[in-house]
Amino acid sequence: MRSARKSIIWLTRLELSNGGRGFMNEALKMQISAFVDGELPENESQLLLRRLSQDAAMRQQVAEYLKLGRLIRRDQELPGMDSLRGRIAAELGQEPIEIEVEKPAVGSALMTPASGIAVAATVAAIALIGLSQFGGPAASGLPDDAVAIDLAPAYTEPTPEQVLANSPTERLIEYSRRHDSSSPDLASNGILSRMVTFELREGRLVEIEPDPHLSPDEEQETSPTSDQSDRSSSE
Amino acid sequence: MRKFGQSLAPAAGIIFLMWSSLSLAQQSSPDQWLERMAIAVASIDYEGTVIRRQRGESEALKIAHKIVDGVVNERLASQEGNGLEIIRVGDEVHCILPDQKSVLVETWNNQSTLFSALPRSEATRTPQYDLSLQREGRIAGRPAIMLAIRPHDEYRFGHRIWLDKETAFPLQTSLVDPNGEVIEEIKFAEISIGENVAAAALDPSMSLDSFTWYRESDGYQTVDVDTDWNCDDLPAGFRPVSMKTELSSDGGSSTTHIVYSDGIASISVFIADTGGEEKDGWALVGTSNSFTAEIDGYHVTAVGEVPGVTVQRIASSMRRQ
Repeated sequence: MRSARKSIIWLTRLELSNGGRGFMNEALKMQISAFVDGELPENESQLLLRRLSQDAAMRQQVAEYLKLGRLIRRDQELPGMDSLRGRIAAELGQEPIEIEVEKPAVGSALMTPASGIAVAATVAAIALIGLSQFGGPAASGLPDDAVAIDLAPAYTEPTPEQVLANSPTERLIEYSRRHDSSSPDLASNGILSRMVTFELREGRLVEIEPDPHLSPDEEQETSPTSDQSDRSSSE
Repeated sequence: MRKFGQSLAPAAGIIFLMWSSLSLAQQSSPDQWLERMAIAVASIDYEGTVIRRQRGESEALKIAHKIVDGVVNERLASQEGNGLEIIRVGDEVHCILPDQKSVLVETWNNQSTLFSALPRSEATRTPQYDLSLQREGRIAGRPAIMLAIRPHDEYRFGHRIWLDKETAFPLQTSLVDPNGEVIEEIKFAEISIGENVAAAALDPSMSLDSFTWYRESDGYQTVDVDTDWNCDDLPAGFRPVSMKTELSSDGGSSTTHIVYSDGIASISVFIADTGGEEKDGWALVGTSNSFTAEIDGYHVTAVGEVPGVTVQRIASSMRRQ
């Protein structure tokens, strides 16, 4: 029998999987859920760990589960969570699961700037279970106005459809160019964005005289070294 | 004599890098590899074929890169599509569009067309990322070692860089999203490092006699300003590094431009009046995500090579004090 707290986490996970990121069948979700809760038998844990070590998407899902648990518990740990993460990290070798501790936003301890899915899932779980059923010290600290998180800004990673729905406007392309030129010392954008923006600037170009140094014929007649020196010094 | 000295300079650089690699290949730390990579990119002559992949599409590019008296001379030519060629001499860049019989002259203020987006060695001082040496392998027939730069959260992309074990030259670079998906990859299929790059390899492959040459007119003037705009909910590690007001050349409009950086990734926020065609929401420009929101009667747009959630969070939380 799951505790109320674990049920909240479980419902939250279901909500998360329904929010567009789900990729696993229900049996596997339950297995991961039990694993995160420390309730999976040892032999099944070993199998799951092996599977995790081979599946980056699944590891990401587990990382999100762990993070959601922290959100619900207001960053308080379940007993044994450290050792669980250690086991996962050991199994994964050089790819430990990262658990982010988010900065609480102003107004509510639950209004963290984490993903909108996480916040929405938390709201759903609270609505289903009811605040009165929260057990343990973490739950008792919930603010009275916790339901207000419905109004919190929801930051979500967009779906490809959302991103591609708006083709870039001329103004946005210009912004991208300015961004490129503003950040050469800050790991600026690479060649790709430049190629994208290159052909979309008709109307702002002025005709100029050709550069006589840029010609394949001229270069063939002189030695490479002296030729290149001439080219660079001419600039 | 001058030619002899010039021909020795890159060779000496290669010898130095190879010598240093003998003792460093197995014991260098990630930040030392990054430092060596920066030196290699800035000093090595190379020539080869690059495969660039982005969002399911790929393109082959020929590149030749040579330092002449400290000035970068480079030619990059697409082997597909419209046959675009980019000829760089220092900061001056000639973009040749054969299908339009046009040459566009631009000023690009970084020194490498391919590698302008690579993290700098200062990345090691950025607490939002972990740097680690992952494994060894072969890229373009050369022994290589993979350096991984992993962000601690979902608000930035990671990097995987395969470095040539001899010279620390980046043979393959990948920009990776928080789910491990590769957003953009640049990989050498074949490369010659440190060998003499012929002058012809740096020239346009065609005569430009009948081409029309263009330079972009000055579209705006830039003024450094203190702005009263501020981000209420900046993801950890990002800080404002630049604030400017950009005035259009006709004096008709002004845009506030704020750049935020975490030391590796950078994001520009543009704040303009609500005139124009801007749509709220996400859009994609190359590998950059953007998000536009209307705030206090202004269009606020965040643009950068970061996940969509990051530009959304920053644009949505811009406030006027």
